[in-house]
Amino acid sequence: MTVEIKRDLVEVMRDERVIRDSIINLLRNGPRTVIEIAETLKHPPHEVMIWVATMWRYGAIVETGKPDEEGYYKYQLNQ
Amino acid sequence: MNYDILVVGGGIAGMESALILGDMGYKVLLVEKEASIGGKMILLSKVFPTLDCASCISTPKMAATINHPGITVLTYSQIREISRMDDGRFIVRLKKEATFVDFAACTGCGECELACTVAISDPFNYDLVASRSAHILYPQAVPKKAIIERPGSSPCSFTCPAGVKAHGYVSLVRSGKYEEAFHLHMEDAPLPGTLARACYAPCEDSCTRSDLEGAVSIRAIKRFMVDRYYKDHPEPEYGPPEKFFDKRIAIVGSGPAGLSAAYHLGKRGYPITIFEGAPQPGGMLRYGIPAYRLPDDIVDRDIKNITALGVEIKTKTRITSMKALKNEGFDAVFLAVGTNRTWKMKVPGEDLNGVMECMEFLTEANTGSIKDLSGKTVVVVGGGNSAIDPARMAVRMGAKSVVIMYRRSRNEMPAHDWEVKAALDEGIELQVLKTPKSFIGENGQLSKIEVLSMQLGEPDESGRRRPIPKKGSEFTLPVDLVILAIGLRPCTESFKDELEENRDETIKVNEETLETSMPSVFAGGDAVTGASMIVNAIGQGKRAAFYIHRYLQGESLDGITFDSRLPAVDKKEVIGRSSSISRREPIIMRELPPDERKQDFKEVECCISEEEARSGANRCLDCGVCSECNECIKACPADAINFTMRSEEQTHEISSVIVSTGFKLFDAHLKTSYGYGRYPNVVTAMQMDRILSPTRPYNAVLRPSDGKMPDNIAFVLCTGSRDHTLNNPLCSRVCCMYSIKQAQLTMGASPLADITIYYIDIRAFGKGYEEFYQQAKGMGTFFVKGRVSEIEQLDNSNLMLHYEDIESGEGPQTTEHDMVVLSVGLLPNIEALSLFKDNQLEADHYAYVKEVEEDINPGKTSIDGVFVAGTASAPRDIPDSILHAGSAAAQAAAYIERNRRSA
Repeated sequence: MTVEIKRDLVEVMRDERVIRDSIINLLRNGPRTVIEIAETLKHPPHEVMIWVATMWRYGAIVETGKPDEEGYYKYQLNQ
Repeated sequence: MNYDILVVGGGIAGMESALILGDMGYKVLLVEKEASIGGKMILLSKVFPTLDCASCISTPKMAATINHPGITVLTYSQIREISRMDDGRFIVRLKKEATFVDFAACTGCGECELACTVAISDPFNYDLVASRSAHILYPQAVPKKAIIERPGSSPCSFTCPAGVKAHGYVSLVRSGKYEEAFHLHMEDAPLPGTLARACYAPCEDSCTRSDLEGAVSIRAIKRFMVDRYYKDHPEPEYGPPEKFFDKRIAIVGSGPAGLSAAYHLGKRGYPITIFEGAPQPGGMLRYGIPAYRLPDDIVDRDIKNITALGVEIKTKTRITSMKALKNEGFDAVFLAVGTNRTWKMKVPGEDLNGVMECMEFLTEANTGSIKDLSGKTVVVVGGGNSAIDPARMAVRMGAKSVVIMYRRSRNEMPAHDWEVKAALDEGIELQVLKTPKSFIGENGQLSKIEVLSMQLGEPDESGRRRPIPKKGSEFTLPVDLVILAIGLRPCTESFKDELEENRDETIKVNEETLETSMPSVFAGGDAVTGASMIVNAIGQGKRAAFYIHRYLQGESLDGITFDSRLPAVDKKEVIGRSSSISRREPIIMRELPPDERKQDFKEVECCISEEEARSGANRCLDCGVCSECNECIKACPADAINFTMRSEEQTHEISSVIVSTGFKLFDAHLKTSYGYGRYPNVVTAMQMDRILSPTRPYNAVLRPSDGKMPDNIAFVLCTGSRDHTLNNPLCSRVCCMYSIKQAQLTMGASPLADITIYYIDIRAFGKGYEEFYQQAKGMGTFFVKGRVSEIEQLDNSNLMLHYEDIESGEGPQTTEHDMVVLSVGLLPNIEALSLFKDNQLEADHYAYVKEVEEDINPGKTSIDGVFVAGTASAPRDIPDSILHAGSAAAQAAAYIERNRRSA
């Protein structure tokens, strides 16, 4: 999927306060890659990457093991 | 205070100079504008060519610096100016910014950061990930203390007369913390249900978004938060305080001012009695605002917030003397009787049966004394909000025809436009430029109005155009009921012999403390300000409570500030923080359709949904950055958060100055052909260093577009350096080597990754650098000699590089990579040049601090006694910076000793 940064990053980062709940709900159904989360929530993957990284940073989610063959990690809720 | 040396900047050079001079026995003051010393070195993953951990080298220096007995470190501090005195010494004025965290108490646990509800970009990670308004700069920060980014109050919170932290509860709702949002509101104002419905929301008028596509719908968000809380909590969750003071307080009037004062004093533990003349408490809220705007059950639930504290409300008890109350043993009185009378028009026939005052009509209608106006013609005289409510009430009571008569034009009507529109939607007729000349009756009963037409003249003292009667324009209008709503009048008649009053019959008070002319009697609300907003009255009650408490505790009321909010931030500055702000339409509260709502007193406005509340709250621009949601205060186990902290100005005498302000990095956005800022997978070298660092923003080396581990990375050297088109012809000296370092580290993290370095020429001039270069080659790094002309993004988010491979001689080439790192150049930090007052710190040809005798006196600048260290004077690598810092330290020490000997 082609992505181009169109929105100001500060605005994207503010959105994490709201989107995080959607991501948490999605991950309740099982681990997902950034691409999979982006496709389900219909948000650009580079924005999802910022939200996932922020949630990982603050301990809400963790990666599961090693990346898949294409080099993508899956993320799950931090129990 | 006096110091021997001032070191400006706490990067590696500044720390080195400070440590050397401290070890020599000099008293050193090190001033750093960031919240931690360490400069840029601490941000790096590793250093070249040894690949030692940057943190491992840096942190011992940082710890040594902050713990050195001879060095005083001021972080989060800015130099205002430095002046050189005639004796060769210096005066430095600086500002220590408020961190809002007591460093002595903060343990650096980071709980505040976890609790914080405001996301900000993380400058430490160069915008790859979000941080929080309350944060520790980075894990190795020295001092490892939290700071709260809070440049000022958000305009919404600053504007609220009751001091309600609108930004705070909006931020909490955005985060899904609805109960916390309610409790935050309750810290400042106890009538949230009322305010969610009947507040004119000055917060929204001041919202920065109101300058864009429309204000954040703060009142609608509050309505959601309150309705949800009240549904879950029909009764307050708290009871009376465990202990009461032995001082009794009387409050006269149970309107918003009286209830607010009772709440705030009740929470402090005072026994309170409210005296109310009407049969039920609430004053204007119950009797002045129609139920279709503010239902009685909401007023009742709001009042429970006050009575739960043990506050007693005595209704049907009209107080007419302050002295009598004091004689009953009350230690303090708060008079909040409001404005429930209307000024007279002074036209003939005003006393006829059928001519009513606005508040008289609303009270009788709200209590059921008047129930039915079927078939009647009703004229409401006035153009303010107080005219709209009786008119809309009359519609609901079945009136055949309702007219609002106003003497100016609609443009001059003080009523809010949306209120006027709502009235018109309900079929109310607006007759502007008309005024009653007399009321005509038969047998004492009103039957007609003699109406005079008006025209507008020049503006009067209010700025509105003055209405002038049109001669001979009189006509009569048959009418059954006239409601006068030309302005509300205070109910202070009973107290005029005891308390000093103003000409408009409001009570004269000290505007700060709300003390009246009688000791121990305070007054507030509309009885003091004249008719105003509910939230204003609530603010007055809160203010009175603050001063009554001080009065009863025997504390001085002089020189104390009740309202210590930070000044509001500049809205233009807020908008300027973002390169763009997406258009997001305001959330609108739905209303019942006019035909339906006219039938009864059912609430007109409908509550917004949870999704609307959160998305509406997410329109907030976080103007003051910190929202004052107070979650950090609750989370901090050390009780270290202190919102009363303020910035502090300091002045010191200094013998010598070392400027070690470091460098800036080239802004890669300026190289537009490389797509930085547009293509997510084009990153700068500093971002790559963060990605490679142990304290990285991601869980691994990943590309920012989608979290894939990159397996084909390009490094583009000389981005923004050695480039005349970008006005920076200088070589940055370090880009070749840090790129080779990053190439090696990337191969360590992803052994199968292809790494290509595009270069003009490799400058490996230091000890071990050539070997380091050869080692990278040996590991399989591709080196392509040729400048990249353009980068394009492909459909798969990979990047196509256009370049000329000079060595192969094959002319223009293209190659695909899945991530590109721009090795950005170093630029001078020109802030250093404006530090000095009266003396000019000279710059060299490239705008670095000039070393006037570079060959024989490294570090000596154009100002005697001022020395430069590290990259403030030229691009340098870390070993060179440290050497240079040593030289500057030696020069400064020599300068001090020379001056001492000659003194």
